Amino acid sequence: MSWKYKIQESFEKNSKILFANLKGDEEVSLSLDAEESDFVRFNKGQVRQTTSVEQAQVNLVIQTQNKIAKIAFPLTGQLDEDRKRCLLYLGKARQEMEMLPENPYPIILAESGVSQKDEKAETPNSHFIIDKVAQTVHTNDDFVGYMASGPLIKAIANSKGTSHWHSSDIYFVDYSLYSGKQGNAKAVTANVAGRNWDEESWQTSLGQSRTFLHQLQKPAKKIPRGEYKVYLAPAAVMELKNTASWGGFSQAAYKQGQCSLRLLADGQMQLSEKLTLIENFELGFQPRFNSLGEVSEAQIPIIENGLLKNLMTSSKTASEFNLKSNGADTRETPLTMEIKPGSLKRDHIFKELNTGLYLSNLHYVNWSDQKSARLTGMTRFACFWVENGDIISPIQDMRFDVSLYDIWGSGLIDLTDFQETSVNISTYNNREFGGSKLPGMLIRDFKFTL
Amino acid sequence: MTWIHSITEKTTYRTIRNEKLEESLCVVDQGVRVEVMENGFIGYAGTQDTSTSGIQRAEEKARSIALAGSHNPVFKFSAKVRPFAQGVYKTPIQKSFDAVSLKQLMDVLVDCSQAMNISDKIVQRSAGVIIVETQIHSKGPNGAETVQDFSIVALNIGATAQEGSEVQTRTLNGRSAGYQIGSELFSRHRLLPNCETVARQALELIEAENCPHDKRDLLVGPDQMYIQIHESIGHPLELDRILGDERNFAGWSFVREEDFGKLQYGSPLMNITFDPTRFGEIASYRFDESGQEAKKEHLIKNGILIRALGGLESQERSPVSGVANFRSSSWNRAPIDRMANINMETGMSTLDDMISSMEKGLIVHSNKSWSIDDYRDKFQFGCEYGQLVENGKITKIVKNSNYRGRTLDFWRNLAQVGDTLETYGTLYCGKGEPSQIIRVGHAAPYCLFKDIEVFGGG
Repeated sequence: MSWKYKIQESFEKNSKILFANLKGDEEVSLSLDAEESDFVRFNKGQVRQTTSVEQAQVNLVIQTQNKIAKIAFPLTGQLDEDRKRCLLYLGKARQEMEMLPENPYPIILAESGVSQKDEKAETPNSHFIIDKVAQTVHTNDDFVGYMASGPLIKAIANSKGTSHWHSSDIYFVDYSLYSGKQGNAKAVTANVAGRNWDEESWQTSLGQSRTFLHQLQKPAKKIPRGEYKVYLAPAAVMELKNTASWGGFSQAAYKQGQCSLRLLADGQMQLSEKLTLIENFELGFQPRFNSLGEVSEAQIPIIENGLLKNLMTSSKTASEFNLKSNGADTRETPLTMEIKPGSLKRDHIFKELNTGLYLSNLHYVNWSDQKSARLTGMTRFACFWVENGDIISPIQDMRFDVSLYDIWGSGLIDLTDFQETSVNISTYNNREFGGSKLPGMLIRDFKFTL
Repeated sequence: MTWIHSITEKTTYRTIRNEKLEESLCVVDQGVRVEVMENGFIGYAGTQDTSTSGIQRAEEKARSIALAGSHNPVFKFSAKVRPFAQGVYKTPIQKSFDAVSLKQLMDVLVDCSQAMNISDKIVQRSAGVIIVETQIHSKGPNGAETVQDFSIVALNIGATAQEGSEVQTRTLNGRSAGYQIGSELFSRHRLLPNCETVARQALELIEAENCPHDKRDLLVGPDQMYIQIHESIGHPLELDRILGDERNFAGWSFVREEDFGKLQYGSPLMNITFDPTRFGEIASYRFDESGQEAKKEHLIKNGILIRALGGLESQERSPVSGVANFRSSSWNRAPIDRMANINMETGMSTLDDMISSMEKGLIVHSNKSWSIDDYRDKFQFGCEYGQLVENGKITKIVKNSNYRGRTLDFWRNLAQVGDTLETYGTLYCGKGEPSQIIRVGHAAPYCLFKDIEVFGGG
């Protein structure tokens, strides 16, 4: 039996045993995050590190009418050992529950039925990608990055009978190509992702990256501080979206005075009518159930034609502020966001940009002033100075400091009529589900400060 | 050759908000990382199945992927990258975590929250702790064995004040209050005065003017210095970054191998050390995960760059001198070059002397916003609490205090260094592919920089 099915068997059987051991009005929710991963790291087209990881964490939430406790612990895939752990940590959670203050915001555990989804594939393993890079990456590509591959699992079972299982065999290769020496180097970045290895996508991606890198070979131009018209490619838009999602769309953050889009939520500011953001589970990146078993609507409009329609609201926040949850998990961040396209055609990007900056990627974006929804960050990788619709040269990296109310408001000229999909490539502690579908954006008066 | 690292970690998150339970979560993690070297290449396999058969299976995987990697490696390492090590380390603490019951701890946090309840304008009061107890038990060939036990606490104390549309949050040290310490930290005597100060300063901020936009002297408090050191010294000196490993994710570095021993990084007042031996600092340890014993080393001496943050693997790949900093976030990640404790050594100036010397200046405390480019050159930081200085006197409080600059220009403008060290640390330094979060400490005095661009919000 594979590791994945051992974990599934252990989770399903031991959760039933745990539920059978509950007393009185105790209710329990068990969520599972698990992965069996191969990671291979490359530098200069050669292998830097290879790591194999099997990990499964159970998150136990126990509650009574007025108390709650949470404990997370690992599963091994060994039935007997895991049964002992489930009962051990149930006991520890009970002890904690006794000593903790009352739960001021009780929630009702979901009764959302049963589902099972198992997306099987032949994902590439370490040996495959090491050979593939050796065979297809050229010596002068200076290839750097990594592959993450293997089964990814999210599951939930609770004592109300809710049970959802979602496993997906997926991989991504996230990489950059560099040319030139440190201090004067040029670089492009890309990634390929999927379930079964797609040779055509891989070859196409490498070919496009080489072409893009070739266009960067002129000396980099130093652009003075100031405001410029810019085109943000979808990967650059993703960096803005990621930071905007950091408290910007959270109901708890809004209610606690920490929401960077508070003025938008209050109706004091609005964004461009061209802008529509949706938490869209139909993209297929993210299971619809959360860690408590609550199932979201297939689509949750967040911003519609520039106006805020919904904040991400967890059941805890809903309980505190007497609102309705929309299935958001405790972090209240969008996990599968789509930004709707506009009318700018791919062939017209340079013509419409005319004179300004073509920015393929941004880096290290952070809020610089919460009240005015101001963001700072850097340009990175393939960014160009464009004059009269022609690429003139790559640029030296620049720092920007802009308000979302400007760049997604009156400054938003158009969005592209195409969108690019990206899987979540975050691997802090563990791999994650999620992704996005985003267009590019043409923006006027984008402010650069350094 | 095979090495086995057994890592157990218990992390508890306890938070009270507005005197009520906000969060209580205990995360128990236990796993083993097996490392196997084949033909000069090391493969890593992590498992939570710590039975004999589970570890054997991990060893087989590690061997298999080590062999695969050895066909096209970045570098073929010698056995010297895993020196023989024996010994123990334990965080020196006065009082164990068991000495304070969960109920007692939550009562202290409720009192902290209550201590911030000094005005109707304080709309949110949050008091939280993160307690981390980690054991790393490493075994290698020929009886090599080390055991290191860490006790860590990070405080998260903050108050949000609101009046009309103006909202300002002040925290205790910008969330950098992390230490190796025991439950002696949870004393009301120690915490409550700080909570009252946090709330009072949040109220000051909603009444304050915006920080001006101009160039002036900048006096950086130790709880902002910690991230200035972290982003513009720590990361660019990581030798694996300089060697290019991080170029796809965290970035490269403006520092080149040939700069060591020559580059004037800052003014002659600048002395930066790598010091995992410092009592109470969050990233103290005796051995890194290669087995190299840690000792204090100067990275920058009298302003000159002399040593990199590179463990034994990076040192074999490079002629540059390094330190014992080969660390992982846990059993499920391979070690890489990390910061540990990177400190600014003290100078000769008192705080009063530095303030008196400023004709037109700004004092900044507690980081709230941070950003720097992938070569670690152009940075921008935002701080919670600013104080304007005119003709040697603090004249007013300002909100939304930001500054920006370029790394070498900034450090070369270091004009005075304080005589008193304060210690801070965080649990959350991100790096690596796959990505890792690790704890890092930074101790620093107040430091005065000349002619820095500062600006406000809006």
